[in-house]
Formats: sequence, structure tokens, C-alpha cells
Amino acid sequence: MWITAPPNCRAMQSSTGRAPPTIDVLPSELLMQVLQHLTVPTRLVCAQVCRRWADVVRAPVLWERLPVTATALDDYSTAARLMTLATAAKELDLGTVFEPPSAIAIDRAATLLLRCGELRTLRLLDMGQYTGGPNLLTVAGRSCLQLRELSLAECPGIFNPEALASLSDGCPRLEKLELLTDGEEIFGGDVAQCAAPFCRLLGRIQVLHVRADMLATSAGPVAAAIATGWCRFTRLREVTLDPPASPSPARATRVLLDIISGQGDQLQRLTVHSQVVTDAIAGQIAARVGLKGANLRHLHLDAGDKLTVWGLRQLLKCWPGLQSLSLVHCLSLGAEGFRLACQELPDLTRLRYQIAASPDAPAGSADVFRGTRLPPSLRVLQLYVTPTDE
Amino acid sequence: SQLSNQRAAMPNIKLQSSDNEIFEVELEIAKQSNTIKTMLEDLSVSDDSDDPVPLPNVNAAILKKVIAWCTHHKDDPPPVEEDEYKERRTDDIPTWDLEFMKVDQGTLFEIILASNYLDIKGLLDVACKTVANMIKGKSPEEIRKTFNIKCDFTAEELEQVRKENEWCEEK
Repeated sequence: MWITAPPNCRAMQSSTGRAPPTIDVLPSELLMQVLQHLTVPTRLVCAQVCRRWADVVRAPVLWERLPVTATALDDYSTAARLMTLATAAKELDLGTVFEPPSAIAIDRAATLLLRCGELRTLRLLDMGQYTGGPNLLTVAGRSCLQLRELSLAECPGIFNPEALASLSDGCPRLEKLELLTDGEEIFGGDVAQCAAPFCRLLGRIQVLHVRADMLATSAGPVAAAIATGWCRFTRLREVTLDPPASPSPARATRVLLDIISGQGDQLQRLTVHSQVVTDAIAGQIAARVGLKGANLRHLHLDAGDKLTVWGLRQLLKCWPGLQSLSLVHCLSLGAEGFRLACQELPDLTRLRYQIAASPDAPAGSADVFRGTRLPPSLRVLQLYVTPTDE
Repeated sequence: SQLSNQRAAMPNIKLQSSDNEIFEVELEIAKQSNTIKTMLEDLSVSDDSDDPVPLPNVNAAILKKVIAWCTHHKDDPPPVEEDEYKERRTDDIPTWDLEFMKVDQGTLFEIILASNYLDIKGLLDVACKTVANMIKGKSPEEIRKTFNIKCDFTAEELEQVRKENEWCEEK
């Protein structure tokens, strides 16, 4: 709650039926609350309304999240203004969409990062290094000691040995890593020297979001290190695997298995957006998890139409404590899979299920409920019926 | 009053507006206001006494609106923990609240002041979102017109502010 000044006279007047209050009756703290619901560009429009609004827009709390484009940094006065706002920033997005950033923009981005002592989240979109220029991650490792989340999309060559070491040493709280990029292109410099610091970094990560095959298709030495078990995924709590870039599901599968067998009983949330989970993989997962006991609470599988009821049974056997289960585009499971999920998971509170309508049961969903007893703990059920092709 | 006749079994309390009107409200409904809750719990304003709780910052017309909102939302589940990475949204106002917020600007701002004073987070949020939606997509001049604000910048300052604020783009 905001501590505000007592309502001023104009507010009081309205109750006696005189001048109705205007937006001026809102104290700055409340106007700020309104502005917090607006995007950055709209806030900047608000700054041009009047002096009071301009003052309110300058409040540091509104600038905890800074989305910055590389072209904005090309302009000197803009860059200067950003430098003054950076000290309050908790989230910084630096990116470019259409063309690679200029050398000036990267130099200024580095200067900007040096001022971001409070930063918790850094997202870089296509902000790789230019030859001889500063590496933004090396800089972040020196200045952003509070960093918790790092997200990289298309930043070729940004993971070089120095940057990885700097991050690993300088950002002890880094726990969330998002790599929306190809494994092959993100590593630069002496790639053989990247493997050790990269594995060290991964060992600390609790929340990981990567393409399913990113780790396995990394530049040779890194992939080799991962394959030979340098990475211990001991602290992972949440894993999200996006569809693999390469058509070979085998590599993606291996990483998934490594992650599942590498972690202890920490993993609580697993999301797989690709077809890697087949019956055979489900069997292997069950074999590995069976040995160590698992605490997985949330499972989301998308596009696993090679998973049948047999495979699902293997998965549910090793993760009986699931509280939420989401099976989307797993169309081989049918009504039997739904019944199985309801039977095997006593703690289930959320179930999302997609089923294809069959010619004999065009309604699909009606068939699903026949003979099914919903778990008593179930609170949310989302059922999707996909029409058959015919 | 109407409210007091509905459920005799529920414990009620009386609230007194700035213009001295008394409202009898179910305790559970009134306690959606953290301010009232604190008054009752910490400041040992006894809740079985007949003395009304004075609310010197809220007039009867607004208090009536606030009570209507709290009554409609009394069975709402406690707010779910927001995903911290989620962007703030303004397009998720429930239909009932949208209708409820169709009031003149003066009332809207008084609801904001009252919900802030009474510390009713849900109402404050939805009222602030309503104002935010009135700002969205407008030029500075259109915003001034909407809220009857006078532009007090000098021509030079205006040019300066305009320049200063050109640097970001929608992500």
C-alpha cells in the first residue's frame, strides 16, 4: 500500500456537490500506480502531458525494467539518458531485430551494463561481440553481482572462455538460464576452453530453458564434455526444452535423459515442447528415475504423438506425486490415457488434456468420462477435443 | 438498511462515512479492507460494540460503491501468486468490474483514493487499470483533453521532453 497524503481539498469538495475531482486529486504515488500498468512507450507519451506527469514518469520504480534497442544506443543523447536510468534497473533487455548492432551500440551497451549494479535479469537479443569489442557477458560478470536470470537469443560467439569465467565467478546468484539459440553458434574464442566454465555454470543453474538439442549440438569440445558427463545437473528445479533445431531427435533425447538422470530429487517442473518423448524414451526415463526416487510435481508434454498409453504408464509410475499434468498434441493416448492419469495420480490438482474425436465417438470428451473417477484433489480440468481429419 | 436485513446470523459492523451516513455491513465483507481489519484487530476497536467505525476520508456515495464491490467479491479466492516474469496486463478486467467501473471520472478517482485509504488491493488495481486503459493509445494532447489537464510546459520544455522521450520502442 502507498502511504499518501490526506485527500486534498478538491476531493472533499465533491462530496458537497461542487467541482467534481479531476485526475489531479491523485497523489503522485497513485498516479505512478496507474502508469505501472502501461508499457514503456505509453509512459513516455505520458511524460509529455504536463510537468507533474513528467516528474512522476521519472520515478526510478517505473524504470526497473528497461527495454532498449541497439538503435536507441546509436543516438548520443538517448544513450546519455539511459545511463542515468540504468542504476535503478532490475531488468534490462538489450536487443536488435532487423540489423546487427553497430560497434558504437555495443560499446555503449557495455558502458550501460557497468552502471547496472542492481540488475536481476539480463536479456540479450542478437547482441553478440564484434571483433575486438567488449563482450557484454564479461562486463556483466564484473558489474551485475545480483544477476539471477540470463536470457540469450541469437548472440553468436558470446560464450567465450573469458565471458563464461566472468559470469561464473562474478554472478554467484545466477540461477536461471535461457538459451534460445543454436548450440553451434553461441560459443566463440577458444572453444576447447569453454567446456569447463560452461559446465561449471550449468551446475549452478536451477531453471533451464533451452532448445532440446542445444547442449548436444554445441561446438565440438563442449558437446564432448557434456557427453562425457562433465555437467552435473544437480540443482535443476525447472527445465523447459523447446523443439530441436536439428532434425535428429537422438541428440535431444540424450540430453533429456542426462538431465533427468543427472539431477537428484530436485527437479519439480519439466516441460517438453517437442516430439522427443516416445515410448522407448519413457521406458528409459522410468528405468533411470526408478533408482533415485523423484519429486517431479509438474509435467507438460507437447507434441508427443509417439507416446502411447504404455509409455505414459511408465512415466506416471516414476512420478506418482504429480500435481499438474498437461498433455497436448499427444494424440495417441486417447480416452485410455485420460483414465490412466486420473487413476494413477492421487495428488493431481490440474489436468490439461487433448483428445482427438474418433469416428465412433465424435464428441470425444463424452467418451473420456465414461468409467473415469476424477481424483478428489482435482481443481482445474481443461479438456480439448480435436476434430478428426475426416 | 437493506444490507442489514439480509443475513441476521452473520456478525455485522457499522461503518460511518465522512458525511455521517451509517452503513451496516457483514464483518467478512468489511474485512476485505485491510485498514478496517487492522482497526478491528490491532486498535482494539471492539467488533461487537455498536459504535460505528469512522471513515473520515470516504463519503457515503463512494462508500456505497466500495461496499458493493466488496460484496460482489467476497467469495473470491485469495489472489494467486503472480508469475514474477509476467507482464502487467490491463485487458484482464472481469466483465462485472468493467460494468462497475462505468462511472464518471470524478467517481473513478474517488474510488481510487478510497480503495487506497481502505487498503483494498483488488479494487485499487482494477480502478488503476481502468484509468490506464483510458490513457492507452492516445497522444499527449488527447490525454490532456480526456482528463482536462492544462499543458504547463513552455514551448522549449515541450520540445526538450519530446526529444528526451523518443528513445524506446515497444518490445
